[in-house]
Amino acid sequence: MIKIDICDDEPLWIDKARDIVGEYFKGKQEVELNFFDKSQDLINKIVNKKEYPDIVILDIDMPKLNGFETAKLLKDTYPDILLLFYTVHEQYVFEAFQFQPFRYIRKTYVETELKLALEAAWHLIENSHEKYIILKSIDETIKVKISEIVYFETNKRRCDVHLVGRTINVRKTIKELYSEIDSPEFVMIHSGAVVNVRYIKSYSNYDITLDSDERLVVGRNHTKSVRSALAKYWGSRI
Amino acid sequence: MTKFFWISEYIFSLLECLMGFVFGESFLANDNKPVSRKVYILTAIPFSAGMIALNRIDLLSSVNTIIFFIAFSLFSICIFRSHIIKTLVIELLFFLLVFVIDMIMCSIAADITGNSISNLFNSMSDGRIIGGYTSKIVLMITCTAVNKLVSQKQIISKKILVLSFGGSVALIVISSILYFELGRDKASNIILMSVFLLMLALIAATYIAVINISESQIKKEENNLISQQNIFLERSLKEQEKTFSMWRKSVHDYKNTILVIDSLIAQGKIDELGEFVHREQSSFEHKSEYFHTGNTTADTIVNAKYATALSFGIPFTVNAAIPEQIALSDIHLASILGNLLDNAIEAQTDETEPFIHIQISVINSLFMIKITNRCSHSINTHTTSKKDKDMHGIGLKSVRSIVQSYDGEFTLEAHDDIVEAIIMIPHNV
Repeated sequence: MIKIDICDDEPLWIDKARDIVGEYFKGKQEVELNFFDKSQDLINKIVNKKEYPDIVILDIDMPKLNGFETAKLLKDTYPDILLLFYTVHEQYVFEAFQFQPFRYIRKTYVETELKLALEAAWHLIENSHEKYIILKSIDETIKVKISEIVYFETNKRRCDVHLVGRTINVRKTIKELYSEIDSPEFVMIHSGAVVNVRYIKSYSNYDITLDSDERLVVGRNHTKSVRSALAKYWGSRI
Repeated sequence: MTKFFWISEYIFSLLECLMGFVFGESFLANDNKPVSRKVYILTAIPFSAGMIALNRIDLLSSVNTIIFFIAFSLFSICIFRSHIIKTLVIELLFFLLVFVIDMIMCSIAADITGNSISNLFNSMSDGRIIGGYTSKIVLMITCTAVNKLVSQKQIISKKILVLSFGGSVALIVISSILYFELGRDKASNIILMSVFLLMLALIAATYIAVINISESQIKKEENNLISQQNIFLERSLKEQEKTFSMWRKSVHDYKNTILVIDSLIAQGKIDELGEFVHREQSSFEHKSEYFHTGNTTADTIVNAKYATALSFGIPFTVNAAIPEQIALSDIHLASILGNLLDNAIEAQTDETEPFIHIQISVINSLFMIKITNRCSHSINTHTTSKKDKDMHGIGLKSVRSIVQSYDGEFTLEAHDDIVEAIIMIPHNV
């Protein structure tokens, strides 16, 4: 089941998008479609009620809360949302990219562009499954999403797992943890540390900077694998 | 003689020390913090003087070697600010190299001068000086060769490697035949010596030739790249001219269109008017489609390739927001987009559902380019499937080398029936 929200103040364009979506997924995948002619209703569903869709098709030119303002609110609550801007105006494309949309669809070419965007989005959704891992420290046992792990590093004979906002010391070697997580999103930066590439902000030949501005040294033999993991991660998300 | 001997010894020591740094630099130096060659010379001069002082106390003792090794490794660590164990391993390798070259050269020199090798090492003989000079020449050639090959990542073609390897083997065979045939006859020492020096000169000449040939090979590839880029630019210029003339024509047509609409309204032919407007609209959509990426070079290439793709019936979509300042130079950006789009178009000439999607944007501090297209047959992600290999094989290779020169990453992958070319370049501007 794939969930798609379509938001446009013009019923004509909602119908158009609905037809293309319906036709594309016909026989392939069941689709739950929701339509909104006011952006406030969409915000209410996603931001307030936390009912997250997989894809949002969003018009830019809307009264009151326009597409960009809506996109900002959506991205702030749910950064992984696949946003497809849906507009007649080509001049908005630069402004639009601040919100890291998955695609920018021109209504004039909606037949081709929306279809291709749906194909790419579906491919991405199919290949992303959230994995969980159980971490045991001396005084607690917690279940975390692996996407919440920023990095982990060797600390004596144990491992420090740095999550967003906290650190847990677990009784496992780095190798055990690395093979347990087994995700292409994680890459070893030197023999004592493994990083989740989604949290890498920038890199150089000998270190990486995380989103939190923390800097970590990269071993010379690992620069190549760090780069290729980064390219694969972001490459699949644009 | 003693004075000359000690001066020679000092020169050997100095050369060994300098070569040690050159050798170490190949593996230990941090690319971002290059060490000036002056530092090597300034360190080597007093260092080798110290070693000579030690040697004066006791010539070639094992204690001296160990002190030399430890002191030298310490200096290297200070100069390169490198990892301790790695430095020790590299310097140990260097010492082994020096030892091997010394042994070979000195044993040859010992035979030529009619000394035993132990005698040669432990006395101030002319044999030691000859052996010393020749072995230092070989050491210099070896170390600079290693340094050039490792640090500059020179691409030497297989042909040249085989040629130089074959040449060296032939030289070694010839010299050993000469050595064993003539070596034992002490009367022919002078002939043997000149042959030996000739061999050394030949080895040096081969080495220089190899470096020169490889450099000219790189130049040739660069020239190829530039000429290919010129072809692109010329082609896209023509496309732009075409677009402009189409626009001029459109302005002219506009007047006529208004006249037609006016007359249709005047005659009250609403159905015909509707049909006319619909026809005009679809032709306008076609004429007005021009992709803006934010970068004029990218605009030129993308729109030129769009025209080509359209002629093959390939739908083309672009989502691009290129910032004003990017690390990539215009010519490199043109080359990357041109090569990848040419490949994408060519791969789809016989596809049933072709498409090309271009995505260019900055995420975090990464400048990303992604070009997606359909490709239902299997692909070779490294080279070309084109027939004219000499001219076209350079496409992906040049993209790869451009991306590497910016410390970026280029991947080409196939999932199901879709091929994705992804380029990532640090965006630190």
